[in-house]
Amino acid sequence: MSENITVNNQPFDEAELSMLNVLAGHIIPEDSERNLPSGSSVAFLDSLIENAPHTLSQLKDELIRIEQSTNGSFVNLPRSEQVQALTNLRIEQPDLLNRFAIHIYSCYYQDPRVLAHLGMEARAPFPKGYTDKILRGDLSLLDPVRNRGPIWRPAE
Amino acid sequence: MPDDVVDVLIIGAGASGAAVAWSLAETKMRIVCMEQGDWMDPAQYPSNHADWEVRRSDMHPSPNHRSRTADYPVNDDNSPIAILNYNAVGGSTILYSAHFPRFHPSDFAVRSLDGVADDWPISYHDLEPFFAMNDHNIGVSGLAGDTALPPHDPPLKHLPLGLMGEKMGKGFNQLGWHWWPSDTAIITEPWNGRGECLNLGPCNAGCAQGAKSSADIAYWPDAQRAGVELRTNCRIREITVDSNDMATGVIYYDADGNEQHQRAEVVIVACNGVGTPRLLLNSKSSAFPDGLANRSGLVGKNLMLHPWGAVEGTFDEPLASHFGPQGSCLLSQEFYETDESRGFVRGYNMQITRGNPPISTAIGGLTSGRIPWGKDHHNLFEKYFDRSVYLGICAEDLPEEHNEVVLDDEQKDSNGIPAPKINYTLSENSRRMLEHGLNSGVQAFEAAGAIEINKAPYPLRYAGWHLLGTARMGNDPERSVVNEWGRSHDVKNMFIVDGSVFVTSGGVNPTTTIQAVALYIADSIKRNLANLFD
Repeated sequence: MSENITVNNQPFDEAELSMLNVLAGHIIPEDSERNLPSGSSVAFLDSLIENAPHTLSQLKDELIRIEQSTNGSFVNLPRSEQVQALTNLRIEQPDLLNRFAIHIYSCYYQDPRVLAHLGMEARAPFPKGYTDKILRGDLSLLDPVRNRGPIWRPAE
Repeated sequence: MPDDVVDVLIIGAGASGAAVAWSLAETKMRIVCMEQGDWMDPAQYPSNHADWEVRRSDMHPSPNHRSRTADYPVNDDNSPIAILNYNAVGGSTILYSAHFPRFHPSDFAVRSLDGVADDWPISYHDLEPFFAMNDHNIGVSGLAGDTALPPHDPPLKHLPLGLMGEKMGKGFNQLGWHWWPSDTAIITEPWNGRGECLNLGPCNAGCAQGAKSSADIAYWPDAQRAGVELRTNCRIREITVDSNDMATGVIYYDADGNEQHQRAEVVIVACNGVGTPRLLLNSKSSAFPDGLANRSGLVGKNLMLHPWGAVEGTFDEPLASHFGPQGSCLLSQEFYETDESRGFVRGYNMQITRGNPPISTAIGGLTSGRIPWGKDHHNLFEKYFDRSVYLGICAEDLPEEHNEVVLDDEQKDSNGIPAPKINYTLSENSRRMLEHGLNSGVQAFEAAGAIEINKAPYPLRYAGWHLLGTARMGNDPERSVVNEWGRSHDVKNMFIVDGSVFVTSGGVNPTTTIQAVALYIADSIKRNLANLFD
């Protein structure tokens, strides 16, 4: 079980928490070639409860639907069968888990390991900024524009 | 205090109200500005926090989404373009991208040149010194020599182009089209005690560095030091008039919701192209049963919004495109001036803006279907992140009387003042212009070597920043609301200084022209002080 699942008085039971963890790993799988973690290994549960409480009811309904489609055994299925079950469900309901996925994306792309892979630091932009990241630019590229001369229309 | 009479009462502390306050301060008159919002605290802006991307939602540009105490609702259900603004000291400049291109000389003479709409009663030449004054006051960066405009020299060096800017410049060159680094209201060198841009990124959620020249930091400190009093959290309900059709002051609600009256010798309205007609239409009296200064019937009419189109181009190499001021890089005005062979009159600006940061890239990709969740997620994220560039099309919107701001019958703000309602339809000319613009954007990206190009459906809904034309300027009191220097035809001690007075919209972001017009009107007031009401 993930270290994320530590919230007191949270609205999910143990079975639902297990499902959420498995689903987060399907939404963003681990990528060993890029050394990128899976969605299940980033902290998502606290912020889900705190910042997206309006999505929880729909999410719980979606968990029930997934469980029903696999006769209550989703988390125990081999990964390939989990993928197939989700694929089948999303043919009928293309937006299944999309709100949860938006939340996973938000958390994932704030994770220091992920940002480091993107060449970014996990920090506030201010006050350090990013002054070394952008070229001033080669202004000689403007020579053809200059050589063409004015294009504005006099009005007086 | 409530029975005090101030010399000048300015309503609204945004782009135009701040410029007017600064200019009039030298008269030593007693000047009070009332603003329905409060001061912003730059330490609270998202870029102070590591989770800045998520926090940007707190600064949503639609007042209907934000619903802060300072906001008033806007019924824009009957418009394909949503109304955007911000209510605080600094107004919508708190959130603007600071892309700062000027109107062209032809924008002031569209009837004479192209036979459409109306000419302005003033010219680019009249405004030129005020453009330059404003550039200097707030600190505008850019590069002298832009061939699409009469010569002008921005006081600060241009923003960095970056790899993405060079790539797009080469594409425009291949097509033989105009392009130029944008004039931008972001300081690139220390200026008037403010530090230069650090490429924080999210300019349109407030600038923590203070490098973006929003009116709260670029104008108000100087205006206050010069003696202007700024009262925040004051929401004006109506402007009052006497039996001689002269404004006597305003009725407003203070921060505690108490009704107050402030008397004034001169009233200056600076509430933007939606807020100004809302206030005038709500200021009914026996002398003005259809709203104050509305004997022409044109208050609220001729709303112009700049319909917006967008194209995204993706390249096959990293461009560091997500770093830097998001809304400002370079522009092309190849199709700004009229060429009727294109199938429309007037023209548009193409604004090259930077790519999205990680979360926006991922979620935008999820909602568009280009970066789905599942096994291909990492490959597809890598395809778009740091490799995407955006091209915005700002289409000139011609004035049409049926595009309007009226008072809503049902919605009200927290003080019970009727909300504005927008009735707006996109014209056939605008449709053709946007189609042309989108195709031009595709050509530009193809020439620049993009491997994937996507056109967004037009007009973009959340693009109604530019609120213009609803109290137009003119010499004929039957066909305009204010005269050539912003004074109401009907109420001779009331002036309007915001984008409401625009006769036409141009095809560029209007803030520099709004501020130049405001400074020009303030200068006219100063030159006419001896006989201001004649």
